[in-house]
Amino acid sequence: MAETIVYRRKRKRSKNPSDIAEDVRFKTLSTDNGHEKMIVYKRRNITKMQIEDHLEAGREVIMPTGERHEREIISANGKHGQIIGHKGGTLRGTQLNDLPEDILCSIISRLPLGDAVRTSILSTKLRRIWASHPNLTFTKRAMFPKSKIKGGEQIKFALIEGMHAVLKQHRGNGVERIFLQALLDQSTSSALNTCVKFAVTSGTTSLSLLLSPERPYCFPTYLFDLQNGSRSVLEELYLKYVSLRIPAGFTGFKHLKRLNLDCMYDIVADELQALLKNCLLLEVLCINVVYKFDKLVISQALSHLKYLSLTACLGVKTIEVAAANVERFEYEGSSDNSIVFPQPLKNVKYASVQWGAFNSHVGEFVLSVLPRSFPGLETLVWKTYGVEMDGLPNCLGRFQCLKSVHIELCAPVLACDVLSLAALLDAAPSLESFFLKLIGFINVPYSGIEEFRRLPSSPHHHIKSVGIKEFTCSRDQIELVEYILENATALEHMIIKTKIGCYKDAAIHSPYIKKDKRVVIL
Amino acid sequence: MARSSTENMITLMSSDGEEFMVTEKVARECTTIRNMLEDDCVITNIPLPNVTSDILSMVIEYCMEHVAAAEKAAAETAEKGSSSAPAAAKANKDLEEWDKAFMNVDVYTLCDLILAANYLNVSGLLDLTIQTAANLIKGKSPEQIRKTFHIQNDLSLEEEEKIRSQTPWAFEKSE
Repeated sequence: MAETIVYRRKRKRSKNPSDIAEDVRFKTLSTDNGHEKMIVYKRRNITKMQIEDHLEAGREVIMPTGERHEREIISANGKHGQIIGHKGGTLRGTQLNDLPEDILCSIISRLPLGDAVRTSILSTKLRRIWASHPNLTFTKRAMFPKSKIKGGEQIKFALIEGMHAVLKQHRGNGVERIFLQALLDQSTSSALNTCVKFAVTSGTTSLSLLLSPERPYCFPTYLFDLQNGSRSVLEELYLKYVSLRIPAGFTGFKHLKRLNLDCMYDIVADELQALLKNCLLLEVLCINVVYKFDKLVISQALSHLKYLSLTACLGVKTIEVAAANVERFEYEGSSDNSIVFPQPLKNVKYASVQWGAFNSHVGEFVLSVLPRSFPGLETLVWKTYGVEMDGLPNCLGRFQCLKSVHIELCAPVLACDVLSLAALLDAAPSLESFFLKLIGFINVPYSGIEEFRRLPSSPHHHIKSVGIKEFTCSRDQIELVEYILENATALEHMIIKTKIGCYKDAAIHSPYIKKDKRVVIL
Repeated sequence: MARSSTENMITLMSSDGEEFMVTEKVARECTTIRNMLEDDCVITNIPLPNVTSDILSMVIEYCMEHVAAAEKAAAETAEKGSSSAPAAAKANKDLEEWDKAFMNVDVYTLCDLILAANYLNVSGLLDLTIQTAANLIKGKSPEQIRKTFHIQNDLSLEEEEKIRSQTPWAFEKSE
């Protein structure tokens, strides 16, 4: 028999424990069925009746509450223990102001910078707490959310002034992230230099500068040069519309793990190459829109690189990717550039590729280069403007591990043949899911005037789920649907979302789409 | 204590001398206690002079709920061989809801809980309480925050004016 005493606290707060001890109202003996215990927290005004209700249910009622618990919580499973002989504690009115400084710091560091700075006016103790805030965001939205000024000089100067004030008062340590987004350029370079200097001296790990394209700010690379005694521990650098020049013999950015270069118009191939040579710990590399390049080499030395994204590198003629441990690869190419992989990249599981217009080079890349270069690929995302039968030769290579394919097919100016995607299915023997999103197609539903084509059968044993979005009932689309229905032996469902109602009616009534309970037309 | 279970029971004693009997598993949720147990495994009675009984009971309630949730998840995984993602997501959501309801306390209790979670080193509870406190400050004017947390303003008008003038952008909203 376990003895449990249930107490009710007096109405008045009392610091004398004996007062409370006298306030015993209920005492009960519970049987030892440990699994049916219940803890009831209730404010003082619990009535005797309520408690007895719980008792009648054969449960143990424990009331360890103080007056301050303004709620009732029933813990259904009390098997982990029980509270015995609980008499309630002395009450203390702990206030925010009474908390130790390190705890206050961690509370305030979770606030946006503006809210954090505002706490400085609450009390003497809180005055300087915000000054070790780890996350400094200088953007119009964060600093002037209610400002009606749309932009222009006024906001620029207000933002610079605000940033100066914060950097001046900040303790200058424990900063994790500095994020500056404003239409600032070389004309405000002294303010920007102050910010970058602060990032170096405060040991900031993440620095983002998203500026104005007009007269790009020259990034003070020298502040990061170890030869100048830089102590920067920067791990993440994100630059947009910034002029980045790397002097000869530069050594720095040794700790860099993530590098994002966006719209860097004046970076030179050799200098970027020299920069990358320094960043041997790099895990994420994103390059978007660079010019003035003949060749870009992502070298084997970047052995930690997991995520590589090369988008809109318009002026680059040749891109060579040799970093062997890349797992995720994103590429947006144009007809001007070619990409080569000297060795197969065995770790690539996810690849997303995109080109301006479809041609036989694109077809060859997707069906021949990709399977050969990424033998372990599991997910392929392919965005293309059009697709042609001629451009997709049958089974040049095989994606042995490919499980999931997502295709975004935009309507091209010239003809497009959706049925040719069957070649991609044939190249992926272990494919499980296939999604096709059609974008911008408008056509008359197929009426049977042209000949209905059937490809030679080639069974697929793993395809379980197929989805087609914005279906418009053209001949080639229906042919692809028929091809999948005939060959996918393990198909569980095919969901066809039509673009608008008239295509839905056409698809439902089309004599060319077999009635099949696995097919859902929406 | 007549309990059929073979689990080790540990008695925690609050600052006001009350005893709370919990399983070792629950007690181990508090890193401070876990360290004590690892240093001296025969210890069964732990005095916690910095925690009052009403707060300690809440800390225990939190630990019990989280231990039970973890046990349930482990049992489900063992039963099915592998954990199913939707079930795990639902369990997580339930626990989050529970946490949310648990945090429905006044600011004094909240501050006491922060202190207790910090002292006992219950990382989940510390994170939860600190986030709750931060959420109470977010988006409020200084006057509203003072009211919410019953903070006495001990700054002189001049000092206040000086702070405002140092970072005027931060105070634009509230004025």
